[in-house]
Amino acid sequence: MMVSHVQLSHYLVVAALLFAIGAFGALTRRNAVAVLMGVELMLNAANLNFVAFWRYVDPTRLEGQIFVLIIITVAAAEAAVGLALVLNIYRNFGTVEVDRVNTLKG
Amino acid sequence: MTPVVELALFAIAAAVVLVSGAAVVGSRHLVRAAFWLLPCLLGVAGLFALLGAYFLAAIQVLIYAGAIMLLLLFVLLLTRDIGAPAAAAHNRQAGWALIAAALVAAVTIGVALRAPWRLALAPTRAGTGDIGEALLRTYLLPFEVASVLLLSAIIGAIVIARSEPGEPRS
Repeated sequence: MMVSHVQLSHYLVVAALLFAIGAFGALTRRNAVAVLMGVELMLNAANLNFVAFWRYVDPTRLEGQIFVLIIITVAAAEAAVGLALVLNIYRNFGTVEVDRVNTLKG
Repeated sequence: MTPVVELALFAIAAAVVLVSGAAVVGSRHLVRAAFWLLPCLLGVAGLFALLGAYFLAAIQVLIYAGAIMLLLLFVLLLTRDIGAPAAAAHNRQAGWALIAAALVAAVTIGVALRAPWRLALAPTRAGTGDIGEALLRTYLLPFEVASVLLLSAIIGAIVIARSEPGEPRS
């Protein structure tokens, strides 16, 4: 029986599903930290796509990997600032549920 | 690595990523959701390693599974509402969001499977030395911009999270 290799499309499908899962979490979770977790899943899906394209489409140049490194850096910065904001929201509102932080709502 | 082994490892890693990702999004307990993030991130690191990006796999474990996970857990422990477990984990838009996410996945997968990607004939593998050299030669500007961004993020996070001098400590 002929066994096929792992293809580019396998990785793309996994990344698309992971992105959709993360988007669902970011859209629906009520806790701000859980929203951030959804965003992290989406960033991971994008990273997976970058590495897959580097490996299968353009392996001679390193753009794919460099881009992932930069994204991980930005994700770390985003997590630090985002979680500091969550702490501050908790201090001011006594909750981290995003639908109860609605002071700006008309 | 034979194709069978590669395919099996890929299937295991992909299953781990998707199942634990779903658990992260669906779990009611936030601490549990945060811990489900760990196998998900490690699975992505495994996929990186399968793709030949060993340095990125190591970085993924160090930064994501190490640092960012720890930060999330710390903030969860600092901000946890006592009454939270009784409340619903998802808001009222869950149905629409599910439809939207399914549409996004369907369109992305459809495009990914149909597009005529120009695949490279011979895959080459880049070592850590090549990445370091590229970072400090060709991509020096983004590298430096990222470091400035990190510095400003550190300062910003400290300023935002610091309690006011007159405020009672919570």
